[in-house]
Amino acid sequence: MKNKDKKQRFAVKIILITFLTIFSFSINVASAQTEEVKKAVEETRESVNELIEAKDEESPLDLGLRIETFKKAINLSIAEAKDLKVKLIAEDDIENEDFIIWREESLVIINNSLDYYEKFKEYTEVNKNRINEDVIKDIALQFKEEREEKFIKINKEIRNFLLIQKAKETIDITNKRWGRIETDLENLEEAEFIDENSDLWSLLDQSKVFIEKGDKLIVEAEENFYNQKIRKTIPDNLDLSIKDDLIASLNEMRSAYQVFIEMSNMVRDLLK
Amino acid sequence: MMDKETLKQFKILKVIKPDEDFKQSTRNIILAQKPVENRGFSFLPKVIAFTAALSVILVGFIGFNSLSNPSLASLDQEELNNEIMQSLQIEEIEYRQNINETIASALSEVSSSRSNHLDPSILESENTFIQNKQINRDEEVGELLNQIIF
Repeated sequence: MKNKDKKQRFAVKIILITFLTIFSFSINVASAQTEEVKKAVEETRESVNELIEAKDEESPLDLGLRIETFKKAINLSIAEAKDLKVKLIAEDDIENEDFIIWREESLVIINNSLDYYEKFKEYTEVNKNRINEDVIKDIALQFKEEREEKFIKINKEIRNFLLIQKAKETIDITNKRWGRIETDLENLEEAEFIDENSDLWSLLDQSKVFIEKGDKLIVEAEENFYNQKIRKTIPDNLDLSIKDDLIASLNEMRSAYQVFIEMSNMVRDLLK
Repeated sequence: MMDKETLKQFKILKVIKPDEDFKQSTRNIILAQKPVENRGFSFLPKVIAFTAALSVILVGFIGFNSLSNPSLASLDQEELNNEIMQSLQIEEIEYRQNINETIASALSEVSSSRSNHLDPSILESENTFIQNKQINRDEEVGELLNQIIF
C-alpha cells in the first residue's frame, strides 16, 4: 500500500515538473531568441571590423576572415528569421481573419528564407577549404541580392506588425493606469481631500489628451498597414513611415506618464 | 439605503405610545428600587466603553488607510517608472533596423575588394546616421532625467 502511495506521489511530481518545465520553456523561448539575435549582431560586427583591418593591412588572413564574416552574416540572418517566426507565432490572439491569413503566409515565407539561409550555410561549411576569394565574393553578392529581393520586405512587414501590437499593449497599459488614477481621485474627492476644481483633475484631463493622441497614431498606423497589406488600397512600394508613427506615439505616452508623476508629487504633498 | 417599507415601519413605530397607567406604575417600580453596587464587575462598563472607543479609532484608522493607500498605489512613482520603462522603447524600434544594416554591411565587406569604410559616400551616410542617433539619445536621456528629477 505504501509502495503504491509512493508511486502515485512520484508520478504526480513527474507530471508537475514536466508541466512547469514546458510552461517556463514556452515563456523563455521568445526572450532566448532575442538574446541569440543580439549575440549574433555583436559577433557579426566584430567579424566585420576584423575583416576591414585585414583588408587595410592587406593581410594574408583576408580570405579566411571573408568566409568567417559571411558565415556570421548567415547566422545573424537565421537568428533574425527565427526570432521573427517565434514572435509571430506568439501573436495567437489575432481575431481578424485577414490578419490570420497574412500571418500564415508570412510564416511560409520565413520558413522558405530559413531553408535558403541554411543551404548557403551548409555550402560554405562543406566547401570552406575549396572556396577562393572570387567564389566567396560571388556567393556573398548572390546571398545579398536574393535576401534583399525576397526576404527584406516581409521582414520589415513582420517587424512593423509586431511593433504595432507592442505599441497597442503600451496604450492599453497606459489607459488602465489612467483608469486607476481616476478612481483614486474620485475616492479623494469623496473623502474631501480634493474638490472638483482641483488641479489634479485638470492634469488627468491633460494626460488623457496625450494618450488619445498616441492612440490615434497607432490606430492610423494599423489602418495603413491593413490597407496596404490586406485591402491593397495603398501601393505596396509606398513607405508608410510606421516607425515614425510609433516613435511619436511612444513620446505621447511618455508625456502622459510625465503628467502622472507630477500628479503623484501633488497627491503626496496633499496626504502629508 | 433603507427601502420604503422599512421607513414606513419606523414611522409607525414612532407614533406608538404607552398607556398612561402603565407608564406611571412602571416609573414607580423603577424609582422604588435601591441602587445595587456590584463591586466585582463595576469596571466592566468602562472596559466595554474603552474597547468600543479603541475599535472606533482602529476602524477609522483602517478606513483612512484603505482610502489613502489606493490613491498612492495608482500614483506610485516606482510603479510608474517601471511601467514606462517596460513599454515599447525607441531602441526596440531602431534595433530591428540595425540588424539589416549589420547584415548588409557584412555582405558588402565580404563581396567587395576594398574597405568600404574609406568610401566617402559611406562615411557621409554613417556620419548622418550617428548624428541622428545622438539626437535621439539626447532626447531620451533628457526624458529619463526628467523622470528622476520629478
